[in-house]
Amino acid sequence: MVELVNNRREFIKKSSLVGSGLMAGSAFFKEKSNKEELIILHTNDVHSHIHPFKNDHHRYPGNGGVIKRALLIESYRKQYKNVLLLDAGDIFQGTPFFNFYGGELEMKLMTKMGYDAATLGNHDFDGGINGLIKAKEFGEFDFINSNYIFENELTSIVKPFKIIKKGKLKIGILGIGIELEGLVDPKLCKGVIYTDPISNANKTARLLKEKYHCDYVICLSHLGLKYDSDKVSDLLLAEKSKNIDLIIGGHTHSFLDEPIKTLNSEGEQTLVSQAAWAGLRLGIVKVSFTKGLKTSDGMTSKV
Amino acid sequence: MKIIFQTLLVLVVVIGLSHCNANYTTTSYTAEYNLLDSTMTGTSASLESIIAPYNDGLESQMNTVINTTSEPMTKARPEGILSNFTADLVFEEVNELEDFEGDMCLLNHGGLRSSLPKGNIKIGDIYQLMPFDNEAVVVELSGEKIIEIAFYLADSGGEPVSNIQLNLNSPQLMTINGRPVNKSKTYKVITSDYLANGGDRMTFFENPLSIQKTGLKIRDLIIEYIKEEKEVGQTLKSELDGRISQ
Repeated sequence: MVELVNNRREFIKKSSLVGSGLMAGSAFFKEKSNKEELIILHTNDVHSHIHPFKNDHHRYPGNGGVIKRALLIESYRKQYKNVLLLDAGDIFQGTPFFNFYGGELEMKLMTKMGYDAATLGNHDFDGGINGLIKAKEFGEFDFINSNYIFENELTSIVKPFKIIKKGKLKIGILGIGIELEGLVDPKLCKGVIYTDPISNANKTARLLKEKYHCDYVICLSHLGLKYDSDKVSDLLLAEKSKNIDLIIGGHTHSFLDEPIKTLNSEGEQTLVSQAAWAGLRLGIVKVSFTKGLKTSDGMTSKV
Repeated sequence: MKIIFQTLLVLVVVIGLSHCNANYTTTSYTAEYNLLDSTMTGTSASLESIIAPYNDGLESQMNTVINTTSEPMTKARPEGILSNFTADLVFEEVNELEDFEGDMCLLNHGGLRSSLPKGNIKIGDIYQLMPFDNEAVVVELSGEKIIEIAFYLADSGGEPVSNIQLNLNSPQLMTINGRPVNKSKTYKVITSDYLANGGDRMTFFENPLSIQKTGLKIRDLIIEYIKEEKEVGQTLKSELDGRISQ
């Protein structure tokens, strides 16, 4: 808990550098109740990696593994009140655990770690529609996708969006999937119709911000970080987006030094993050909020 | 080990925003990627107990030794020991099936995901080599499409192939079973369903004259072949024979 106090102090010190002019000291005594903090933990492309890489692995000796990730997640849950745990797809395929057990173990472990939501990656269809539904029976979290139309039983396990309340915060989550043609055998993803990522992401994000008044909107994406061609990617989506605060991506197995800051179509900041693959990293985004700074009449509100 | 950076967002009070009713506004954020490396230790009894039964079942399967090699086998371009080994055995195994025959075999370099070590080969090694559940299929193509394959190979620098021969500098002269490709003939190509369905941009597989599904996974064909070799007292080997030259 010592660490928590230190972090808080450091945070207040820093935010006051920026915010002092705006708050003009009036909110000083109410600062505590006016503030909320959200910790977003994220993974992508874990590809059925349950165990760490072997100790003699040429690139990642002893790295990764579900146990280390679970312990780290647990430590964040102990330290912070508002923790979200999300995955950006390709949970399946890559070790015999998937080939032999069809994703059952991955689902059980994600449930135990307390994942709040995941989106679907192309490899999550590798067991076919029925395989995915069967595996999902062991998973007590939601699959989110906003740009696939399902003409099959997946409608029962995939939701177009999800709203999660953490503390006083309302978090909206949407999901964007990659075009499956050329990536997934058509028989394995029968009845899944891919539709435009950007317009569907914006439509869903607008719904979450304007209708449901979410304080923060996260897009779980399996598009891939960026491409040399004009193929739609997270960075392209970010630039053309509105109402999305954070894109948590996957598919390209990207190792970033820090999330990429982009400006969306409104000139507002949208962050793009991705946490390698195979459970080699846990992405951690810590967002601080203040109540009532941006209101409908443009005035700083009193709480 | 941690990579950390911190950023502060500049607060902007936007005058006249008509629809922004959100109660909380982002003021700052920090982000980091925690590298789950080997310096992290600890255990979780609850997770271990979930994993254990799955792990035990898998371990006994994966550790089963099915044959041996005298040298490590690796993939390479334009041809490699492991590339030739895999394409040849898939060609042979599918041709041994009743109702299936192929003139050549084409797999993908990217689909061979690891090498085979020297010594004991376990079932687990084959799962690492071929983690995907791809099915062997036989695709019937026109001679013209076969020439497209040759140009694809020239472009990629080589893929695992069997029963063909070509020089990457003159792909149009590719031969199948020692004979020049006849553009007015049709040929049957043994490949994976992943490639037949347009994977790795193998567009020549689009709109084939016919496609037959074997119902067998390529990984299972490999395991089957390796076991068969063991039964007849053969260890695993292959060679570079100049099937793709430069």
